[in-house]
Amino acid sequence: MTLYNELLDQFAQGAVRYSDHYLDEPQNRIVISVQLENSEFVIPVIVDTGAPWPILNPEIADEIGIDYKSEQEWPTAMWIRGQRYEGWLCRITISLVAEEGCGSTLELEATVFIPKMISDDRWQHPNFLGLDGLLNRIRFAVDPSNNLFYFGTEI
Amino acid sequence: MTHTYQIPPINDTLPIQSGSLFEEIWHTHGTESEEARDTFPVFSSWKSRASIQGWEDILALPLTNQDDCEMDFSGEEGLTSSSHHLWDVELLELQKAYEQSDVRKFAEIVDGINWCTKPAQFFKQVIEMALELEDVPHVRKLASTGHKLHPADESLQRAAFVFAPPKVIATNRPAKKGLSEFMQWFDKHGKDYYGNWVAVKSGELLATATSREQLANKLSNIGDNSDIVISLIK
Repeated sequence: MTLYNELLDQFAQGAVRYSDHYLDEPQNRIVISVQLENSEFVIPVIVDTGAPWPILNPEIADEIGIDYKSEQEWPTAMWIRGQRYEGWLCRITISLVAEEGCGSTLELEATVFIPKMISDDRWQHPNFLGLDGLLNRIRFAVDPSNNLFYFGTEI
Repeated sequence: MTHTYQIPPINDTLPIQSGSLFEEIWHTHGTESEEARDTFPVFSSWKSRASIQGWEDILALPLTNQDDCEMDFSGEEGLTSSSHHLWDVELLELQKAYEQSDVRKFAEIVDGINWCTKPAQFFKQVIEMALELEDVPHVRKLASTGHKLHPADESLQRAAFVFAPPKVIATNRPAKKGLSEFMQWFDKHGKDYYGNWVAVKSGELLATATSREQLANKLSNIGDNSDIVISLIK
């Protein structure tokens, strides 16, 4: 990965390769990997500037141990892909992970929406990085010829 | 707590102070007549405000400077019946814009309200409406301002915390080896492992499991696992 350096120095602090698709969804996407809280594993998320908040699969939130149903969080509802979901808005840390040799990882505290699942329901949608809850406070850029997603510190 | 209220009422006018930020922006962007220059239209009557750089700073000043308010926020006892009447009218206007999903109208009304005179409950109601309309900038302003004006209110404390802008914690966390190869693997094979834990090294699947513990057991015999990327595909 040699093409990132010039832009990295001037604009961003890190970069990572993105995937064009999210699993078997046919549409083109920008999918990057992030780490949540202090977990050691990464989660694929779709970069979505149309979403007001990042959206996190509740099963992943449970795995990480986020106490999203506590009284400290804010219960609300969101329309996601045509369906209305009850859930909570919570503050968590999200790390935009850089590929080794492509700068450093950026860790932020941000507000995410975690939907409420009823009984045995399973979350059927991807995870998203939203605009207002995260992306509009950092620098980011996309190099489609190299599938690189650049990110930098807040403006 | 007593504050000094200095913000002009909705649709009122305010003379421009010489050397003020108002005057600077007016000179840079204003398109009205010379007579109009002497009388600065406040909040809701200035249609072009949204496109003017610096407007948010102006808006934030009356919204956030609680020292400019002359209203007792220790309770509703100090509030007059006419104040209540104004809230009712404003809330009805907001409710109407909300029910029509008219985000622009809703934002215009919010921007025109004198928030210094509003009780905590009013803030909470409007925050809920702004959330439903996905008007996040106003959610943030209302949460921040509401908390400053009503610091003892627990809901507004929570709102100020949850709706605070994203904050950078660290810019120097280490990068991850093998992440690009993992994304290439995810692009090709991720759909086959939905719901599973996977361990990928140099773009090759090392192990898969239905739980993190199970995956950890499978990886326990591997010595150097520094360049293994572990993910939950969901």
